[in-house]
Amino acid sequence: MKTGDKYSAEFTVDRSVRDKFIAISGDANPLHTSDKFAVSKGFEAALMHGNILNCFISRLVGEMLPTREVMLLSQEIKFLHPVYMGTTLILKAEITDSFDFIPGLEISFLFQDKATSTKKAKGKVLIKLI
Amino acid sequence: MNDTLNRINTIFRDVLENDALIIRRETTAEDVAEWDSLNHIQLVVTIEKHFKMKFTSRQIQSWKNVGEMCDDIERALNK
Repeated sequence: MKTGDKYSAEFTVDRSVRDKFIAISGDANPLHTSDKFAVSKGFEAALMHGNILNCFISRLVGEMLPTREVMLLSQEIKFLHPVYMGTTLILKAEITDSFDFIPGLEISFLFQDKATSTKKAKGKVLIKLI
Repeated sequence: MNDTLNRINTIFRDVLENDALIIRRETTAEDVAEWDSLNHIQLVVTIEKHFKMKFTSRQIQSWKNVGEMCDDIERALNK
């Protein structure tokens, strides 16, 4: 793995994903479960939890890299636009830096709505090669 | 405090989330409660990015205090 290597995948945030995330996190805030509540707050419908995207980053790090001998050291993410139920996201990730002393890699990522290309979230992770 | 040490101090405060932290050339990880092994990685990563330079593992392992790290940074900046 080296700087410039790219990875991509698609994820759909459907009801099953949302419900499993609620089961794990215990976060059933009406912003995520009630269209009526979310609309009253100015959104189109119930928002999917931003941290669902972090679950997909876990899959990127744990399953999509050429090696499984990795661990996550840190993660930064900015949520740019809401994700609604049924949205298919394209995850684009690229190795943007390497650190021989760890040894480790920085991977920058972007989630885009597949249908509209709207940027939904972006961030970066620091991983250690173990 | 010289410029390099001043800039490192800002990075340390940011990474270690301690706005009151004052580091000196003599400072070591034992002097700063938040400076654990994971934060050490974050500190070096942030310093490498800030100064646009890379350290070798041997360099990092040789540092006995912040001052020795500063010396390596200044040597690289003056190349």
